[in-house]
Amino acid sequence: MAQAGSVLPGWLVVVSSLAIIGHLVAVAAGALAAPSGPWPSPAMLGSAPYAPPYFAAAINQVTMPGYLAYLKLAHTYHFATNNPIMPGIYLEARLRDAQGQVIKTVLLPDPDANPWLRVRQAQLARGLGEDENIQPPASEVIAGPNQPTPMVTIWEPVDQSFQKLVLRTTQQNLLPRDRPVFGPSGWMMVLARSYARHLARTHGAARVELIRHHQEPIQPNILYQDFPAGAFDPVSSNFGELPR
Amino acid sequence: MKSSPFAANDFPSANGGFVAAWVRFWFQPIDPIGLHVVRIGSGFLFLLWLLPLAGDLNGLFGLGGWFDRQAYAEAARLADNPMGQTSPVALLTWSLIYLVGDSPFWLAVLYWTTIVVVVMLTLGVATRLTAVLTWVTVTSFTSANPAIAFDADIFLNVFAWYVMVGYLLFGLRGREPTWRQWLLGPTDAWLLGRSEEGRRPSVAANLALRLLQVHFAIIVVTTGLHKLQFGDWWSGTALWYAVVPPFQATVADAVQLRDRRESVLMILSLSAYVILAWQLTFPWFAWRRRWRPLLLLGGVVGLLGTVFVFRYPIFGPALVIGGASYATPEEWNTWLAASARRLGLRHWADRLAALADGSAQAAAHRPSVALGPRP
Repeated sequence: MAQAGSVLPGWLVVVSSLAIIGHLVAVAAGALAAPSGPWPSPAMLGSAPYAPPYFAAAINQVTMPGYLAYLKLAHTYHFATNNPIMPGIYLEARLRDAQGQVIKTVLLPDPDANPWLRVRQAQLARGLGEDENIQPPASEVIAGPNQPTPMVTIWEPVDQSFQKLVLRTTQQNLLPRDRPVFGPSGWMMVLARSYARHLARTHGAARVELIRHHQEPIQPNILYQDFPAGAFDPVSSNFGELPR
Repeated sequence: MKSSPFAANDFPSANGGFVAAWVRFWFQPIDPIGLHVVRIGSGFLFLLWLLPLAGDLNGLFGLGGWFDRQAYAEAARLADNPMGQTSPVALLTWSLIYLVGDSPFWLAVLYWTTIVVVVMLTLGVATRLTAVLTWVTVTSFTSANPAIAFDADIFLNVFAWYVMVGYLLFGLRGREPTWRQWLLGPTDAWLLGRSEEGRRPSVAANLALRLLQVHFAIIVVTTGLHKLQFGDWWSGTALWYAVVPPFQATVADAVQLRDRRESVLMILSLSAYVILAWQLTFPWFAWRRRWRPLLLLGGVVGLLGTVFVFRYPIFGPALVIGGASYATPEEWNTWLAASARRLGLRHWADRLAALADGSAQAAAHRPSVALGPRP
């Protein structure tokens, strides 16, 4: 082996050490500064997610946007894939011309795509699967003077089977109170509209009808007990026809 | 802990006190073969990530693609999550793709330039320049489109960053470099390092590998702790969902397993707890040479599991590369010599064996801590 390499001067070791500590503190704070749970919470009469530790959040508030984000190392390492219960999701896009005729149907993920591309396609589809639980207001919401009544967009079942859902915008006061109500998140709608625009541009379609098919994973309890028929049947959620 | 300063990938002992151990851990010059291996592995991983996406560049990355310019504007207006999670586009900062705009032509130019740069880095050509360009271009692609961002992508950014740090500093000290070497990097980084008198020990290689090791350990432990937030990991049924994935397995398939449920649940729960144990105890064994088989076995099992069971093509190779960063130069030289011997490459086998012996001998005769002026 060659002679030992050159050694560093003391000042460089000190400066480098400070840089190392600062960098790793930023990385560790990023890892800690993620909400956890949901955990049992007596205060919430059930379970609720908990905020990250204050010290980590305080450091992260500075280092994540001001340092790690520019290094492309901004991450909490709380991987979504750590959650084993992920529903299966695929998208069906019906491309229509100006007369409303279906000119093409696109599936995402594409069964014929290579595995690497399919992961990306599945990721986009998964992004359209994160519904929000929408709580009805505790008391009647009254709009301010000259203000419109607050509206929300929810998934509405087409029939009693709850296997087909459509988007419906309704007054917040008229939200159903006899069942859990879910609606698309803002992020989902951004993704849906953008993907529909892309398909319309690419294929020369006037409108795109976007349908999400999802299936809840089969629970391991099925090894011991029967579930009601249709418990794991796929559900279709129609985003409607999205403009170009 | 070994007494060898070349065994820089072993956990630091407290011999000489904390400061000495700290300096030895971070700033000990080492044979740079470990950095070269990580560079080559990372280069292949970048290509594995990029090349299969070549067919739909505009859709995946273009500002007229799946996530278009209007979507960026709409997403930027989304409010941050009250629990502290930021909007998916809040941390995007920069990407060369944003400069390319809607042009499929310039996007293709950027993409194929990235491929060429990554190939050059992987081979070890002009590493100081190509390491920087690789980081800039690869992370431009991995972090450009939030609609297709996947968990494993962060590993590419992590590898690209530390490989860049290593090769930016590699070869700056020691021999007086020419201006060309200042700009492009030393010429002895070709493949696994070529130099007739042997590879020169490098502080930069140690520093970059140490940073990668600690960062990788933080990732492994954090993701292990995160798994504990889900009841299915505690109950040992987390892997069940990979056995009967939605849209692929039917209720009838699952019911068929009732006859073997004890053995199914035994295997699945044991496997889940082995995964958790490996992740949560990772820092304890990752730096210890005697536990190297456990480190490598975990990486290989992770590779097979994520690729063939979960169908995630990036996680597995990333685990292997991250795990490989902990191997010492002696281990690399010994393994490579054995591989060369098996392949009938006697010349290479003898040379690598000599390097391994040289590392060990140098280790035995060199002061473990050196602080002072440049000789």
